[in-house]
Amino acid sequence: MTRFERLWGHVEDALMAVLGTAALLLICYEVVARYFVPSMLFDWGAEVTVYLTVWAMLIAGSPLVAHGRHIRADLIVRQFPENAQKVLEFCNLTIGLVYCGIVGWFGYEVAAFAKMLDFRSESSLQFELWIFYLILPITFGLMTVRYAIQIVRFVFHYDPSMLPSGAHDETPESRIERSQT
Amino acid sequence: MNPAAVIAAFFAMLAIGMPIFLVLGALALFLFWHENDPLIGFSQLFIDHLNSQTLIAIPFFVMAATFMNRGGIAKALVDCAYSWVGGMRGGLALVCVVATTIFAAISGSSVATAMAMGTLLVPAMLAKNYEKHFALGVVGASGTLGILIPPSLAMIVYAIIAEESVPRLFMAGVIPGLMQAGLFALYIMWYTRRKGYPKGEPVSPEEFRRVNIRAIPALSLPVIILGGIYSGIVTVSEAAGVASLVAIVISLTVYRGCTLAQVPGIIAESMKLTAAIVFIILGALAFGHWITDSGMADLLIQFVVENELSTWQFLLLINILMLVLGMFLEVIAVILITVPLVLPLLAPLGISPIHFAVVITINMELALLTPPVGLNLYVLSSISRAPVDQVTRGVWPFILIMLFLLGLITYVPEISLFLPNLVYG
Repeated sequence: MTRFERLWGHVEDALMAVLGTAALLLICYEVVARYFVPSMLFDWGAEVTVYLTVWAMLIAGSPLVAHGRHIRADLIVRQFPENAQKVLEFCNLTIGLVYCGIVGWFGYEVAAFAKMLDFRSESSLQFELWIFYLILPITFGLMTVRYAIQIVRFVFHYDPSMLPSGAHDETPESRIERSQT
Repeated sequence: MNPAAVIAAFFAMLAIGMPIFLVLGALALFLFWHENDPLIGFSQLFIDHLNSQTLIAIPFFVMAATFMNRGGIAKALVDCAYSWVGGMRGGLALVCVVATTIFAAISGSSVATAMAMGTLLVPAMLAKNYEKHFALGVVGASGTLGILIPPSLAMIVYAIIAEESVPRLFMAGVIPGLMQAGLFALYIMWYTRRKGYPKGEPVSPEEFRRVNIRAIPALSLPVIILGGIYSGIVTVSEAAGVASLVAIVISLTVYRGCTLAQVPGIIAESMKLTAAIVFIILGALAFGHWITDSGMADLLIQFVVENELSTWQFLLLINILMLVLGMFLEVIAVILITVPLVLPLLAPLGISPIHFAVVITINMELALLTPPVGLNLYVLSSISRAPVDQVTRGVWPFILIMLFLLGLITYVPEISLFLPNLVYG
């Protein structure tokens, strides 16, 4: 992983932490204000909590691609010979690239459409919804770039740890880390 | 498009190790394109579903569970449970069941529950000469209570897909969850008596008072979550948010298991854990949209009618299917794959979606324990440095108990529906 990618990862982590903390504080403020200081209750608290939380969650899509932490069922593919796994992983990465690219592009169109028609939320905030919708092109765009980087790395700097099985060095710890539900 | 071809493509994509969010999403996107639906509608569908109050409960419950693990809350609960039942024969195993039951009433995640309890209790049990497979089995199986006793991430995901009330679903899990804990406790008492385990050391009155007072902040969390939701004071998402904040505050100030500097990192990590689920949910919702539009649900209903499947036969088939899927797929993935398909069949067969959610959840508990892909097995193997085989040997008796419970819950819907009907009518 290059220095730029590490920096990119830190920025994403910082954004998730800031947005997640803001959402947490806002949702708790709503509860407290409702019962103790109703005069200080906004009609847009719940709405903005959703925006902040969704942004925080979706930004995480990109680091999950970078670290191969999107959940997959790798039991069967791990039994395949290395060459077959290489071909299949290349297909997976390519489909990921195309899928994220398409969803990101049409996500941009959804945001542009909402901006053009001036869609706004119903609360007194009258929030311009295209700003909320922007998370879709941003996150799927970032995921597309991550997939592109992975494809380049896979083709030009192949390493067996990139294989679909989650790598030859998959451990119980890494499997648990990948899915904690 | 021919549904059989879609199902075949779906399983082929899963088999080649494609991430599940991509399997569901890419297939749904292709079907959108194939049916000449405008693709902007696909992205719009994502945004519409993301704008949801229910969805945001997931990251906050994950956050609460993460802070409980790292913040010392789990340790306080274990000490408290020891003061209650630790002096009995096989006391530490009973402590595990009691502490996981309380922990489950806060965390919503089985893996988080098993990890927290396993880290604390497996070494303690081994130090007291408990058989290793038994100690691992107790923790692994008790950990599954995380998704049955409310709050439950699995039930929130089900609620999003099935458009059901989360508080109702949570309520439906209470009696089955307590029954499971009770059955485990009975088995432990029988097993430890048969094997001649010694009684635990009793706790002095001073110690009893001390650990119980120390546990009050931790014990306040289930009260905040469940009390808040059912008294109508807070919504499910707000309860999750408040529980997270309280978990952070008491982790920092009372139990001091983590520092302020670690908080942003843990919040970011919680978001990543949640995102892995949310991307699959989006794919499943888009795929479910196709299932509805394609008339596949009607075909399934026709299949059930033509084969004259009765309700009990259908439930038996579903249980077998989910047990098999649960052996190979992760819990949330199984729910997201099966629920959109099966949901339209419930009403014609007279099955309550609330009851069905509990049946699914118990199946998913079993999925966490059944090899080759049973996550709790890996958690315990990782904690104890024991081979997965040894953990599997330990959980087998508990799997049999859970199968008995599954049969009971499947064919006696009143067990799940009693509380929701009592409260909501």
